[in-house]
Amino acid sequence: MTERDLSTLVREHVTSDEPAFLLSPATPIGHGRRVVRRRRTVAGMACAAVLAVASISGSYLVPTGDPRTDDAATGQTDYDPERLAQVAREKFSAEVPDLPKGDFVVLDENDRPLPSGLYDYAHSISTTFGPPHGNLLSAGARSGIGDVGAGKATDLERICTDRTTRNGDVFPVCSVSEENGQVIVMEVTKTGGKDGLEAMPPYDHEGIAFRFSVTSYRAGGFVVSASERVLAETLGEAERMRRSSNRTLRDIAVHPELGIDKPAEMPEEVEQRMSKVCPGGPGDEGLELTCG
Amino acid sequence: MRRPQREREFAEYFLARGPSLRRTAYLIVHDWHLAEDVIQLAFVKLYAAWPRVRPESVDAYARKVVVNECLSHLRKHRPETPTDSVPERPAAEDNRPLDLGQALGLLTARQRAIVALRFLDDLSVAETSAALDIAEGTVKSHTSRALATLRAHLPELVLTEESS
Repeated sequence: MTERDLSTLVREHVTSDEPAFLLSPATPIGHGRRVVRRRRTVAGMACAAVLAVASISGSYLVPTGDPRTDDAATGQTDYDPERLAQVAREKFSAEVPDLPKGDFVVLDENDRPLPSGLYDYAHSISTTFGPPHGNLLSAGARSGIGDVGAGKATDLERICTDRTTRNGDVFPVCSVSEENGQVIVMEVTKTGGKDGLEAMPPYDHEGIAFRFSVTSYRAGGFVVSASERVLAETLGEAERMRRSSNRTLRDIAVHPELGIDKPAEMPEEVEQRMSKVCPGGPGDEGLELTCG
Repeated sequence: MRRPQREREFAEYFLARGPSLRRTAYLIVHDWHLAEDVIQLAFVKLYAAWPRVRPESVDAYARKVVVNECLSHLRKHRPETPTDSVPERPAAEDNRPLDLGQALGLLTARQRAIVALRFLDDLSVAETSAALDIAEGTVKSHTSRALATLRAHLPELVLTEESS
């Protein structure tokens, strides 16, 4: 019998069959961004209204001589994020004739809602159609996703396989394909219930839901996605209740006109004015926006 | 701080501290896959809080989130029914390695968390108390009970008296 202290034993016990650490920070970063974005979208609606009013009155943007700033101030840009809402409406309407009026949100790199004059600084755009507690159709684009882009199909396949084999109840479907330089991920995720992913505002819901989505990872570090969330107890029931097809989701996700330009660096002056309207907005002070 | 820089720092932290946090989680949940799931969830929460966590307290914060996630998961999915009586220890063979895993399985989730924090992460009673949001006295009493259980099942193990 050897006297051994518990610390040594515990360490030996833990390291004896420890598998290699293969997790990637991209996963928590991706999920974390969604969590932050969803929290802020709700709080940020009031902020957007304030910014829009300020934009119209011209009270917070003064031409500085900086072409980027001046373009932003006048809204003169070739880039039109609203095209996403147009394409999504057009495609979804073909299958859902009674498609409700949609919401359209453009966010900067700190997930603050941007008025139309500042779309040059957009990091993500999204449009959503549907009542809060029914089928919810949505489309979105995001930039700055970094290392998860075209040519990274293997990484995404690994994530897909990992999800479906280890937690097939939550990720019943996940497949990856590559075409025309785009890596396309089709997946179904379960939210709510005892074992589903947490549904975050403004997309939270009672009970269980399944989200059918197609995401296109494109060269240049941005993604375009389309999805439908269906409230249903089982995947089979959700399949029967869904109103859009995978083809439509895919058509939106791979649409050649959709995307998002690399956002311009927000000049300090605009940053300060944004922060003044939305104190706490940049996210350095906390999660909750206190603007409006 | 700009988001790309924040995310670079977060990714570096994830890669540097992820393995040891996974070990802490493993000691509590006793399943490597589950430990990975737990730290992924914990890191999502840490990401959301990253801008407001001070660099000097990030380790304590991350550990706290991981332990809370473990305990929360075990509460939801494996409700424990602690018992005063402990099962008979199987007859030990000479030179048989200590089965610490089985013995740890007899502890409550909170006791395992305390063992993980104190004996794996080398935290003091005060630090463990802060990580679990419980009184220092509670940490000591849980530690004492956990050690008693381990002693009962691992007579080969001679535990040195804990220092507080």
